[in-house]
Amino acid sequence: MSAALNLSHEPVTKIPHGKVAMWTFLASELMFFSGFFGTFIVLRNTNYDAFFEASHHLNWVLALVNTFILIGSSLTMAMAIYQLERRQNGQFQVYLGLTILGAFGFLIVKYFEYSAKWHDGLFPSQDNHTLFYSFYFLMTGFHALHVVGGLIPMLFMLFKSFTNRGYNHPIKVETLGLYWHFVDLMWIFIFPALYLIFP
Amino acid sequence: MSHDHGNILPSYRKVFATLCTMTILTVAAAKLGHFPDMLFIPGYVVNIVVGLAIAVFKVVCVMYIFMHLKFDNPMLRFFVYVPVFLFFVMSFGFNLEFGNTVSNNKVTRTVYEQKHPGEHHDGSHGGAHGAKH
Repeated sequence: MSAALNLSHEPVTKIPHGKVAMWTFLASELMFFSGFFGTFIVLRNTNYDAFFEASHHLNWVLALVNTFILIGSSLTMAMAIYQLERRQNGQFQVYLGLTILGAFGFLIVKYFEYSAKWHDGLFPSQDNHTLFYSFYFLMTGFHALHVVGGLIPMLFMLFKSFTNRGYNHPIKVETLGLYWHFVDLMWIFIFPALYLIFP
Repeated sequence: MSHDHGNILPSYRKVFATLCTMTILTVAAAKLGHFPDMLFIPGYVVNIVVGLAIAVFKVVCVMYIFMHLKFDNPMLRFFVYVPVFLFFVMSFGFNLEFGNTVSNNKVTRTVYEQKHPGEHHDGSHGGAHGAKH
């Protein structure tokens, strides 16, 4: 497929500008989440009792299901890019559709997880669990917002792929793929940090 | 994939299988008992370090294969390494207060076991306590 891509306008790096821009954005996103993780670990060490008690109300099985969903959607996203580069529009639609299903599945599981917390009265405002659940809702909430942020352009691309002209922009899909894999990467750290790290 | 790097599908499948396996290992390391104490490091601290190491391995797999860092211009890697390094420094580097954490954990675990007699120190009844909801 490289023959079909004209990178003459990037003579030095041979990297599409959109990808460089996305990596720059992801670098800033990484710093954004660094603040959460760093603060979480400092406060965990200094408020271990409260964090220890509160963490045992989390449902790590649902989080595990979400982990597998995100890993699977990362695979399907990579496959979607692969198929689009080979102009296999039908396969592209299938894999992008599966990725979108994965995103919806993640959000549905997250809804059930939040509902259980709501039902049990586990909010950041509750005295004993204030600090831990502040981090829980902040980190998982921002992560879920990132999932929604990836879902919207995916839906747009899928919709466009069904039009007569199709969606023949592999670089754009690959750039979105970078973002989607980043969402997966952040969950790889959030899952053990919130759900498993407490012995 | 802005470069042609042959049939990458087997690599994708291998990475997917590796990620699934590593995820199961992460849960196992956290839930199935603790590692034995090693020198001055308690076993449950080893659990955390192992969990973190597995997470880092998974991240490397995703970045190099799924995100095509392995196939892209090497210049891009340096563009990625710097923020990743800063992420680890800011998230974990300044916070490795193992001494305080270990002593806090010991007190907490003792108190927890006094409050919850019959339960294991991981808060479970021999199973997955965290899955009660």
